[in-house]
Amino acid sequence: GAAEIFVPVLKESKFRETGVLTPEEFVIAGDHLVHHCPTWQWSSGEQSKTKPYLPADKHFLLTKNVPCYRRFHQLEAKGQEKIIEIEGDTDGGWVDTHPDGPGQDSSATSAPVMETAQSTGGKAAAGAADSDDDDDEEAGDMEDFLDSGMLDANDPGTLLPTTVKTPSQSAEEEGIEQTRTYDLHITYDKYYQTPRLWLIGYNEARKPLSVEQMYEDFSADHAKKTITMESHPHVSGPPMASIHPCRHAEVMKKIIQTVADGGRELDVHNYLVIFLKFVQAVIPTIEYDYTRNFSF
Amino acid sequence: MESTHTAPPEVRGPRVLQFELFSSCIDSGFWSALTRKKLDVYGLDETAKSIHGYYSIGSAAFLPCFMNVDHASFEATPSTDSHTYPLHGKLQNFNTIEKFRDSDKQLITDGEANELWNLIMSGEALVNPSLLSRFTLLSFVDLKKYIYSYWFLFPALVYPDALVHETEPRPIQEAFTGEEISHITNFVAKLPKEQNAFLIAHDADGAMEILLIRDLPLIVKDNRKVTLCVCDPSVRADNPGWTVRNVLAMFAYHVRSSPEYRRVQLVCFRQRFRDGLRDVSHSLVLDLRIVFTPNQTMGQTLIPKAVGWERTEKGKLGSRHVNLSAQMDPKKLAEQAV
Repeated sequence: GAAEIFVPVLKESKFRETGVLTPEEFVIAGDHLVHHCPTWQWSSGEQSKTKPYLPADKHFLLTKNVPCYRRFHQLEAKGQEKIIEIEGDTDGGWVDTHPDGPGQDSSATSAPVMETAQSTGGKAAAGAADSDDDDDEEAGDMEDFLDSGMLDANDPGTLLPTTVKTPSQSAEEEGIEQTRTYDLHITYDKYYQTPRLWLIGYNEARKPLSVEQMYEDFSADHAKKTITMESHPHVSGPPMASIHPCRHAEVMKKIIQTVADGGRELDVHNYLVIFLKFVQAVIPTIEYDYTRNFSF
Repeated sequence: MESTHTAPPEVRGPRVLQFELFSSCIDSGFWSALTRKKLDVYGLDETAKSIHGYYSIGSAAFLPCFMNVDHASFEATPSTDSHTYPLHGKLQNFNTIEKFRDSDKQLITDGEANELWNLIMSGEALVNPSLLSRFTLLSFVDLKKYIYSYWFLFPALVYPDALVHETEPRPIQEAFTGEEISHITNFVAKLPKEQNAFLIAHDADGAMEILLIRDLPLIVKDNRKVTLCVCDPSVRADNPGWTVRNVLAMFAYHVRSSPEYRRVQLVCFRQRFRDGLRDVSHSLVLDLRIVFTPNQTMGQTLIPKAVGWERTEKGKLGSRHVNLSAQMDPKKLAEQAV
């Protein structure tokens, strides 16, 4: 947004006091994540979108093709939802960008910039859901482009992808058919001075999911309050879903405090590992990797 | 040998090895980048352009055999990370939907078969086996409607005539010791990304030596026992992924006149990271028999056929379409923003 341009880059570490990160600390924490969880990798993004305050080859972190085997309601039904609760904050309220509830707009919120994004987000989501219907219609017309007589049609050495339904499909494979995947990106948000998580979902046929469809994979409590549609800072293209960062620093500060109360000191290296652990409350069905053996 | 006519019904006949075809996964950043290329660079130029894709050998359980293209696919050199491998791609973007529809798919397939075969016969692919990991992407971009039509070919040679399972596939731990597996794993970690296949030579005393695939002719000349290892994008317990197919074709070509290499042990090397730990236990070992037609061992150079066209969502041989108007059309975006 426009506000970002005028916010100076954070120079001094304020991590312990406020839970925010400098770009340098973001890179340190990113290197640590990549080292321990190599499914995460640095990306340079598009050259036209290079930011001077980040190293050229370390603009954002990404992990691709992360499975999402079940929808959120299935998880909820089984009582398996694991939400990290911070002491004295039982609703994990860090994600609640609308403390007064999603119905009430524009008042009593600490993040007016986010507010605008939120309201467009809602409409974009509805639009995307519409497009999905369009897409099916179009696809129906266009799938006439079939080719027959190719050797492919009866090649004994080819096994078709499991996502393609075949008459002989076993019970186990029927479960596989439901597997959606996500690409996750972590960028540095210059305005909020925290990491920011982006989500790009794909259905079983690897077509992009609309936001409404992605809501099925987000915690019902958090989804509409927390996910906004905005432009990715390093990759051009349509707006993408992201977990709004306006409460991230606050939650990190609480975690740092909790750890300190336990007589230990949280190192900035671990920032992203902890960050990924706490955003799991929002996306419990997306099975991305982070080092689980970190306790606080 | 198998005599299927006397076999009791519960005994299965020779089982042909099947390779899991790639499933394409296209980032919306790819379509944005293609749109810009079409407008700013390609114009009406329909000739094939070199692009890149990649695949991972670390996919999570139950996922299909993915290949990815994204915003970086148009850069001059492929960008891969610690667990992804390059796919060398050709993009042919057509100016009209009719040209896209009517393009001669068989001609394209035969052209790819020819290139693959030349890479194998010239020995070029022995030096750089990743050259056999390829794709062709046919596309048409409807710039007014933001509808993208596309069809991927992942060309694979139908050579040798067949590969037959000699035994049931088994996990790597049943064929190699823990020490040997970590030796293999460390070797893979240090390999440059164009080396997506390598060899293990076994000596009579049980010692093993890991070698680059370029050493195959020498190993065959010395008549050493060999295991072929390929970095495998599939996660299935029974099948290797698509890129393994051309490597086996190359292997078969180089051993075609040595009958003692008709039986080959194949390692499908896979690794996954979870909780910060590397896991290779879902890697497979397959014992295969290579079946040639008489012509294939006579030294005749008939170019094999190729297969590998991606199917539609309904499993038919046909193109796919994606409609990104809701996300990309400035008019629709403006309406939503009101």
